[in-house]
Amino acid sequence: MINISLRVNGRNYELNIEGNERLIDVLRDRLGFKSVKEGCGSGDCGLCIVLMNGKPVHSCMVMGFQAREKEITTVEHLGDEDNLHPIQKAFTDVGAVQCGYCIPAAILVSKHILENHENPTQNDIRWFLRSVLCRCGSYLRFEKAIYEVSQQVR
Amino acid sequence: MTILGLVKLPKIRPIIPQTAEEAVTNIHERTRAAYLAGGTYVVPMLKSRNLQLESLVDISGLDELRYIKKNGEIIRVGALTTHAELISYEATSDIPAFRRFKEKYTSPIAMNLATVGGSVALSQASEDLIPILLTLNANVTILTRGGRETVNLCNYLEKKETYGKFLIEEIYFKLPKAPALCEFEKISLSISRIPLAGVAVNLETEGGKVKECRIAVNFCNGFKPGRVAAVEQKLKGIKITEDVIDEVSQLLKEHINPAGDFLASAWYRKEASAALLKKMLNRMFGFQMEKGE
Repeated sequence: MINISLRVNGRNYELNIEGNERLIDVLRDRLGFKSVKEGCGSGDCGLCIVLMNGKPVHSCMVMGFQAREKEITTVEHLGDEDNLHPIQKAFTDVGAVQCGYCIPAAILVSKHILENHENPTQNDIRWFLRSVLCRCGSYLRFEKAIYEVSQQVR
Repeated sequence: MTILGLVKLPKIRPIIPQTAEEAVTNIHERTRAAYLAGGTYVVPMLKSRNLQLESLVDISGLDELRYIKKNGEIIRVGALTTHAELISYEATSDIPAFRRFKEKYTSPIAMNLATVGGSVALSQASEDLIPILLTLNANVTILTRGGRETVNLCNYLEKKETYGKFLIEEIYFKLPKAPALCEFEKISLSISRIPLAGVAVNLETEGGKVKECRIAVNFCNGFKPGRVAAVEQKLKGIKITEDVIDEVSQLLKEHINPAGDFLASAWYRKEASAALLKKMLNRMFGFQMEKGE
């Protein structure tokens, strides 16, 4: 076992974890953040994306002990049913959510795009969204939602 | 893309060194151990059981290896610098080869984890950075228990098995004199990390003729990247014309020996590499390719 401390969604945790636990295992199984999902387990599909120190990373490729002293954000931190984050609201407004499996990752990637690009172009959005495999093919609606939020921010 | 969901990683012992020297000592003291930096290769390989280890030496916290700086015309890159940091650095972001590297990156979010040192350590055809670094004539500083050694990336690729256990500390290269003539191009399947073919070019011209020239491909020999000396020699000292471009793209095909796999046959990789070289040279020197070429 290895002792780590990390901060998830604004709360500090002190955990004893096994050496073979990845960040996704820690977040899902130990801390119960079920928005973090495992798809391919090899960094291709992007379903497990979380923000680590503000940057999107695949939590299936980060070992739990590597997340020591790191700040992690999952989609649970963005908003709730009564108070949706503008990106979550835009996703529902444009009907971007179908099966919903990739949505937490898509929203976190969208957040990263909007925080790092004042006026994201279609190319910027499409380039980043390549990292999230949406089985329903809702990319054009993701793009529309991101574009709409960027217009609101302006 | 695999179907590895829900398969847990095998038991493994994490080791967290405080310095690069300590990391090298840790690796030496163990037989089934590997470095863990970005994790983009090691973690999926552990999960798929294609890599069996007892210990992971986690170097991801060694901040001494995380930097990128410009000393005159030399760019020094610490091994833990991520691909995202390399391509967003002011002095490298305008080089067309790095711009194309970014554009063609399979899963852009992985750039935040994948490290430059990790790409050099792997040095496989899947690492698009290697042909680009080869054309920039990059050098690699490695740390062994005997001390530090700096080797040219070309020599490193040939001899890395003979260095024993080592840690990559730094990669450095000179900025191209003519950035516009430093290009990279690849063909890949959308979600596969493995390119079907990739070619990098770095040329310097004088009086309309090629003065210096480096050409490298992802698949040079088997799954190993490398420079193509025959093409480089052919181009040196001559003026680039459409006939020359046709000739050197044919020559490239004859002097590479790529591996074939389920993604692409060796024949396809040869043809694709030649076509990419032709496309790039035509673009760089303002020649139009015919439709369908």
